[in-house]
Amino acid sequence: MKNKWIVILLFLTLGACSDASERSVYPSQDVELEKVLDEQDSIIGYKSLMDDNTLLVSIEIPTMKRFSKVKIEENIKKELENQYPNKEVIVIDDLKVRWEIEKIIEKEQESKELTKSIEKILALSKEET
Amino acid sequence: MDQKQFEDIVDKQNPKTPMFTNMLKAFLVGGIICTIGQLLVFFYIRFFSFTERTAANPTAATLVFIAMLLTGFGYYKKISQFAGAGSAVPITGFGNSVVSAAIEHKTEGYVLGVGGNMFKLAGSVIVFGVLSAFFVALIKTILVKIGVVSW
Repeated sequence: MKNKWIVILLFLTLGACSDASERSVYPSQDVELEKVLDEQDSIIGYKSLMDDNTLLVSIEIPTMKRFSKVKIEENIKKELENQYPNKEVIVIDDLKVRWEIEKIIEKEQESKELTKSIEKILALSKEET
Repeated sequence: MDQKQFEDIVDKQNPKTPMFTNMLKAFLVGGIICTIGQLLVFFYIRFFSFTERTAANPTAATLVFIAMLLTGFGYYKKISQFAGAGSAVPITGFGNSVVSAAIEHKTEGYVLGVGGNMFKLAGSVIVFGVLSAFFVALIKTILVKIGVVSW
């Protein structure tokens, strides 16, 4: 009986469950963007939105690499800015942004709505308090 | 009998502190409190417009509020007796120390009793919290300047 409890406790303390990190781009025709993001070793997943003026990428950085989060974000931003000189590129590692992008992808929003949603997410990410 | 002999006898007579069991209890209860905190973070991110960076503020406030309620109803005492440091070190310990001091000094009146003594215990938490925050910020500033980590 006691051993059973120890095993259950060990499972609870040592085990962890999580989704496999997803990699998705919306609207989904952009192969080049996927290629650039797939090449990054420092991230384990990404979700991105693009409209006419803005490219918003939410990246997922592994826990131990979070110490250099800002550096990783800046590096990816620079690469994407070279690729898309006409667009404003924003790269963020944030759960809220990732979940909001997921919602937008699920709803399959069209261009006008998409622009509005991206503006909303950007306003959220600038929030300090 | 000198002081040392006396201390030896006292040590022999005292029951031994079960260090390992205490640590395990503190680990488990502290872990459970932190898990609740993490769930609250997810809740605030999911249903309100908080980001990963800002969700910590309402989470800390909620945990303190829950701990204050539990202290008032007398449940936190039982948790503390079982878990020791596991319930004192997380932010819930702060709420507990504020309310327990307020309850203790209620008989001395609301202004000089409750008002004057409320932060008797929690005052040291604030002082050393601010002090350690200063040192952590100092260490991080140095590490950023060297280039080991980034902001």
